[in-house]
Amino acid sequence: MAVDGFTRGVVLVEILGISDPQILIAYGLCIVLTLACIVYGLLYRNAGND
Amino acid sequence: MAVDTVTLSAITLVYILITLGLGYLGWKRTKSTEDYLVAGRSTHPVIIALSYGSTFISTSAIVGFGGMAANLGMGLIWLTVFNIGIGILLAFVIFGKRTRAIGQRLSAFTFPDLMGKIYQSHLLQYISGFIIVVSMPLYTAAILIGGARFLEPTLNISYSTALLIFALIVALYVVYGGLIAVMYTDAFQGAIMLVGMTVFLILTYVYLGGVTVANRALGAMTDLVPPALASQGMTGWTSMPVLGSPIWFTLITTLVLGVGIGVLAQPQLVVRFMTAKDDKTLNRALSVGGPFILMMTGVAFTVGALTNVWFLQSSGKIAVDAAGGNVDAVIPLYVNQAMPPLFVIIFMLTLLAAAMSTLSSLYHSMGTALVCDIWGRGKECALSLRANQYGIIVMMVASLILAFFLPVNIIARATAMFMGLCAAAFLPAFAVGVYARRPSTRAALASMLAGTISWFLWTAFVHAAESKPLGLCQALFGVPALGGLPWSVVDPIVIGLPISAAVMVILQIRAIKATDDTGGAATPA
Repeated sequence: MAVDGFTRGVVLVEILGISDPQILIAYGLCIVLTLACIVYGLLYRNAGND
Repeated sequence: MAVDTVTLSAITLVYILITLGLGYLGWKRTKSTEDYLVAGRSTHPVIIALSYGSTFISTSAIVGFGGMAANLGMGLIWLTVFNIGIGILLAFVIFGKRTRAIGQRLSAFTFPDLMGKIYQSHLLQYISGFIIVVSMPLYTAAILIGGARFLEPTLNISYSTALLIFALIVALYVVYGGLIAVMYTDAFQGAIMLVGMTVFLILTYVYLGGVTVANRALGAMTDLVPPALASQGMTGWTSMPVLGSPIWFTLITTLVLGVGIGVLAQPQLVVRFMTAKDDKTLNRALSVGGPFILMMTGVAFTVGALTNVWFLQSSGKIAVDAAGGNVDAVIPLYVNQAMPPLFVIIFMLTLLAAAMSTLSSLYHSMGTALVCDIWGRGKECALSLRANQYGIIVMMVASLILAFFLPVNIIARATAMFMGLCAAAFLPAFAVGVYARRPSTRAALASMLAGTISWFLWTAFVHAAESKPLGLCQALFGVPALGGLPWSVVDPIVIGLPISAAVMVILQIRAIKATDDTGGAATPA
């Protein structure tokens, strides 16, 4: 499994064409945080009625 | 590429007419001062999200910071991480709901009004208003410059004319329609920006042969990094600079932290929270706000860096060299030379929309701060619509004059300066104010003053990027900046914000202890 995960990581790096992990992590965080915004908004769309 | 002037004029005219039409709608729906100042506190979540996002993202983010990415590379994508994580997620969830509830309970109309009412201090309201009126024109002028720089070659008009047209059209609907007009037009402009930036990303990767090919080509340009940048720590356009190098400090402290954290306490954005009816409105707005910011700054910084590949293939030069050394000119030049004529028009509208949406909010914030919080401080904020309209006109003229005198390459730096000052001056007092049960007025005043003064001293005497052009350090001490590396490249926010926060925390704790010692009988201050 670890090898599979590693392989997937290598493939991702190959597809993106960027090798610096700091840049890759930043792009990954952008996606994760955007999804967090969407999910939070949907989960709590009816929460907080005054 | 040549743009058909008839098509360009027709589309631009339609855009301006729709914008003015929405401004008219805002004017028709403005019945009270509450409508004019906080959009009646009943705005739709999608409008809040697009208005917040399009106000947040200006031409500075697209032209200025896109140009910075062309110069310094994809490391700027860390700013997008901060923009989404702090500027949207944290801002809405942690600060937005409290701001909305307190603003509604205290009937606050502006950011300084909110601060003054939380801390029950007219002096605090006055100082907040003063900081806004003095510093916000710098940011406003930078946005005017960004928009005018693109309009100038595209419409083939003089720079001065472009500045004037820009400033006047926005002022027209802000003055008459107030915040309802601002938010309606923001939402329309935000939608245009979303379309424009999405197409911009797709076309760039299509032209450069796809994601993998384009990114690899950029990564392979490492040996083309100018010696002046390489000696300061730049390693390439798809990698971070050397840790602790001058460029690393500029990238992380000025651009990423300065703008990424500074956004939390920007008066024109905080007011957006006060336009929501309830918390669920803000929750729903979050679903739109996050993706919007990703598609704005994420695209600008990625494409900005990739312009190097296009310019290398088309002219044999890196982007900044192709733009004659002017970082702010990279994105406009790339769009004009690389993109098809129809997209040049779409992108021009995107930039116009980005500039106008931010400008309108800044005009509104500055004008209402001048009238409600300085001229009318201590009185009911609702002096009159006419007074606020005059305030907006005065601040618009001041910003326009400043725009004529500011130097080139100022867009990204002026944005970072404004946001850094906002964070140093307002953030600790604002955060404690919306969360503490007994916020201390003395602590807030001391924090704001300590943050502002330390930020200014560092800007004027230590941070070489500002102290050199300001000349104050040279005149007093005979050197352009005090202290050598790394201090001369450490952004003022890294100094001002911790000082401001420390003062706030220490004095707040002392105030709570003093109140507890007297059995809770003392006043919060």
